Amino acid sequence: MSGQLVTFVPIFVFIAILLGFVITNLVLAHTVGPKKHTPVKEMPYESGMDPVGDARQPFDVKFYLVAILFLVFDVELLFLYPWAVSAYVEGQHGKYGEPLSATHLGHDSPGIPYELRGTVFGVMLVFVATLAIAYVYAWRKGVFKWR
Amino acid sequence: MFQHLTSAISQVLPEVVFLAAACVNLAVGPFLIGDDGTGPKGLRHRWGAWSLIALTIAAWLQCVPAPVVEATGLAPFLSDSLVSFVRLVTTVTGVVLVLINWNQIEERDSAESHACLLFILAGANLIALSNDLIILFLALELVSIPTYLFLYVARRDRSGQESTLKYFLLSVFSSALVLYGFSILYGVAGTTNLTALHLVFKNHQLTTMPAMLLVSIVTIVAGLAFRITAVPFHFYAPDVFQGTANSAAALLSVVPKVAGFIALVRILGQPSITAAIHLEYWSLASKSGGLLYLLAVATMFVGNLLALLQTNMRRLLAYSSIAHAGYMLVGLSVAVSVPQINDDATAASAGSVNGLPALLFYLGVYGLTTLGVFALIASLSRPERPLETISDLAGLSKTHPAGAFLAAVLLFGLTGLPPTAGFLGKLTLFLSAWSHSTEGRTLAICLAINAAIAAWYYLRLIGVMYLQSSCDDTRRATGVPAFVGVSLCAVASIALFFAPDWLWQALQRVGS
Repeated sequence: MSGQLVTFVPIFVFIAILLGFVITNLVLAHTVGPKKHTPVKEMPYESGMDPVGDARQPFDVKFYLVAILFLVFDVELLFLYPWAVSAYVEGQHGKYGEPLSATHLGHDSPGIPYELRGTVFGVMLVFVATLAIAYVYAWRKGVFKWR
Repeated sequence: MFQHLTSAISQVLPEVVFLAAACVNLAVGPFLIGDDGTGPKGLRHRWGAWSLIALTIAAWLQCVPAPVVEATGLAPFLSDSLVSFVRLVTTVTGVVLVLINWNQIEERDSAESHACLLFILAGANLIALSNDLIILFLALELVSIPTYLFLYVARRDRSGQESTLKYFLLSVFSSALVLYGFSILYGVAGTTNLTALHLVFKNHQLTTMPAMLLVSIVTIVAGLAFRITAVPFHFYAPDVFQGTANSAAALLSVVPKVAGFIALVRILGQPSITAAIHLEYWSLASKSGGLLYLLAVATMFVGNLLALLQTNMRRLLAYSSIAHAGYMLVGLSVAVSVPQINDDATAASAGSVNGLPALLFYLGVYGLTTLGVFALIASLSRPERPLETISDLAGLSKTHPAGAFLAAVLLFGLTGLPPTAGFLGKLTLFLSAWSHSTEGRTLAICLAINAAIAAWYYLRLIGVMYLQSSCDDTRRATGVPAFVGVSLCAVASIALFFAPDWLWQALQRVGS
């Protein structure tokens, strides 16, 4: 074994454990698990929809509402993440609390300039508050009740 | 150096008020209606009053001058006299729309409906404020997405749903067209900032005009022509107007037009006459002049000729709003193209009218009069005694004399007859086109012909109201809030005829 490959040993061990875990579980489930065949269980899985029949059946709007709400919070995270990462980065353009000077401006700094931090923080608060209002609205309108 | 970012908030305070008030509607509204989905009696009055309060606060904030920001050219928002004009228009439009909507809406839907209205008003203002393609697109969507909701909430029966869906699908398609045009524009110019964009073209940084620029102009104009119901993109309007509620039809007849025209003015910019002397000069404005010319002629003729055939009131008003979009396109076409420079024109230019102020003046006047007509229909229409077809108007002078009189005033305004501001609006548009160039004179003649055609169907309505008799001579009931809106519009359109100067002076500054 060459010297460089030794560094990868943990990864090989990891792959072995991973494969062993999956295979063991599959085999165990196949041999030990009880087998009760019902017509519903025999059907191909189609996200809760009936896979056999007319393709033009009405689709419950509840799925759509939940998907939209999921998307809202998904996008929220997408929006919060860059801010959280770059909001308080230090050292790139002066320490936190130190005003921006001309020497710092030339640098490619990932952080938000000190002068703008207050504004950006306010913007983020407004953003989260707006989403909270949307959430309260959806909750009160009964979107989360799976009737 | 970040002043233009931190001060951006202070430039959009009236819009922040609109958005905050709408958020309150959505946060509090659902808790005021019961679990069975019915609202307590009088809830719509509370939300109507709340909207009026928001409009008042916003109007007050508009009067406070915004802090002067050093023009860096990179600012996301641009406060100039066009913005103050659009804010004035949206405030008046907003008040009248709230009044029309007041009794149209059911108690349980009142919070959402008024919230949508406030969102739409904020979006319309932001279109005027935006100095960046991205903000402009967001503002356009802030107008159109709440409009879909407003259409749906206002009327939930089959025809209401049909018209909402028609509007939704076509509006989404037009938004995609606009966005496609913006992306090409960005690709060509390398910036999304509108000030920088116009500078790139003005300073000849592109020696030859890229052909893609024409594609972007065509898609942007086509997408926005949908909102202003210019002719190849008008076909949805009659169906949607007829199928939806009066308040939604009133909204659609005014706000998307304001949005579309202001967006076009912002994107296309104005031709610089000094640069036009160089033969190689071109700009977004000068390249789109011909397109707008064709749209204007087609829109005027199709709108007016088809309006002659209508029997349904809202359908008639839809075609009338198409025709008026054509008149306004005359103003826009004149505003974006370079005036013909010859001795004749320079001699006339001493007293000539610029296209842009004429367009904006007409936009305001048209908004007032057409909102007034819709408010009248909303005020007098009852489920058991509707004002749907033209024959329903018969004998209105007997069954509701005040309403008939105000309707006559407003219809005079739409026709363009004195003593209403509609006359001055048409006159300024005509003069601006006439004094512009040879093509402008053709447009002016088309405008005059169409004003004459339009007189037929507007005056026919007045004739039906005053000369025909109704089979039911009992008095019509009045919906009070909407009737206040009618009076407001009628009085304002007469007042603007006698004192047009205060608006006209403000508009003169827009062009310069």
